[in-house]
Amino acid sequence: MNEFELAERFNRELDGVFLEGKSVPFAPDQAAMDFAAELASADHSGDSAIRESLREWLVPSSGTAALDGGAVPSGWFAKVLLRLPRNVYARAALAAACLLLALVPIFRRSDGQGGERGHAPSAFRTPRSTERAVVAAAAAPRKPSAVFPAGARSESSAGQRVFHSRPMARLESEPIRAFPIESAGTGTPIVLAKGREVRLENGSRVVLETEHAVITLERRVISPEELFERRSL
Amino acid sequence: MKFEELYDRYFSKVYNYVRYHVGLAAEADDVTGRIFEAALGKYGTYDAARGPVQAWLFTIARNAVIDWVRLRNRRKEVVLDDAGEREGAEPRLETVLERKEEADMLLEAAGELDERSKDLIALKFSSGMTNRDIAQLTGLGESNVGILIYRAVKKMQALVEVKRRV
Repeated sequence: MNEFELAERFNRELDGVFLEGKSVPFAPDQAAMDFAAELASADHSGDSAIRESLREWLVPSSGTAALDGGAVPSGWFAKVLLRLPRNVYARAALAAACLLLALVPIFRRSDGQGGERGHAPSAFRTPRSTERAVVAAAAAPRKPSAVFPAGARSESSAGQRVFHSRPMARLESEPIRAFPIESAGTGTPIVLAKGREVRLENGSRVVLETEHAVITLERRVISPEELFERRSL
Repeated sequence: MKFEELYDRYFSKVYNYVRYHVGLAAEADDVTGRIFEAALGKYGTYDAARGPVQAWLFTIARNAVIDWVRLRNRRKEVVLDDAGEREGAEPRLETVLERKEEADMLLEAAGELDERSKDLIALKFSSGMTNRDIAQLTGLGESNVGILIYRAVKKMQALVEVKRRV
């Protein structure tokens, strides 16, 4: 038996030493096998002065993290969760799901404002009957009184908080000294119309009567509701 | 596996591996501490598909020991100090338990080996890894590992027998 064969047999038997924890029969060189068993059982870690202190220092900073590839938890869901970070496609799917979850509140918000349902994805649309009713309501012309409740209209204090009346000069008609447009000489001649002043309760009005039309100019105090439409959610 | 489980399971093996290379217990503590610090730092890099956790940990340990050997070779005075302490420690060994004497004798015998054989003996007898795993870790052929281990065991056996006779 040459050295190569001897070493091969020795190593094969040596693995048995580690399995059984004691020397195993090895006819070619039993003394070497006994010495190897002595080596295998030797433990010098008792000399270490830092074993416990190092553990106390390292383990708290390790937190609850676990080594990848460690003990696999039971249950298919836990296994799937454990394998997720390794798979590229799974990572992409997870990222897409997270993005979708993040966008759901935005879709819902836009869905509730102004009845603009076309922007919402189909997954978040309301049933057809509800949709038809909403579309009909949006198409119908809205009267201010229908949109703005009488109770709310009477609450002028709310409007006053937003709009403030400013003192205004009285609107008066006065003769135009120099008309800014000159007649071209052909067609209908420009005729100056005389304004008729009308006193109002909260302002004044000037009515200008021309050849073909009556133009009314008013300067008066108005309420916000005459200009704006207030909607209640 | 949680880090504390890793630590509890492999501390002795890693320390024994280091101790084969590093003569002084205090220095072995220092190197072992660095190994487990590095293991904690590289916690997320381990991939089970590449091999068992023991091989991963001993790769870190081996690199730490190689760094230590390089540093020692740069500072020759440290080697001389080590040698002096080892000789001076012999009278102290006479007063300790026989088991401790035997253990130190094994370490001294390992210290007589060349670096490569010492590394193979340390890997084999501290971790109990198979020759195939050791071959992967060291980059040597499996059969070469087997022969080198066998030769190293024979050499250590002879050295220890001489010391026992003395």
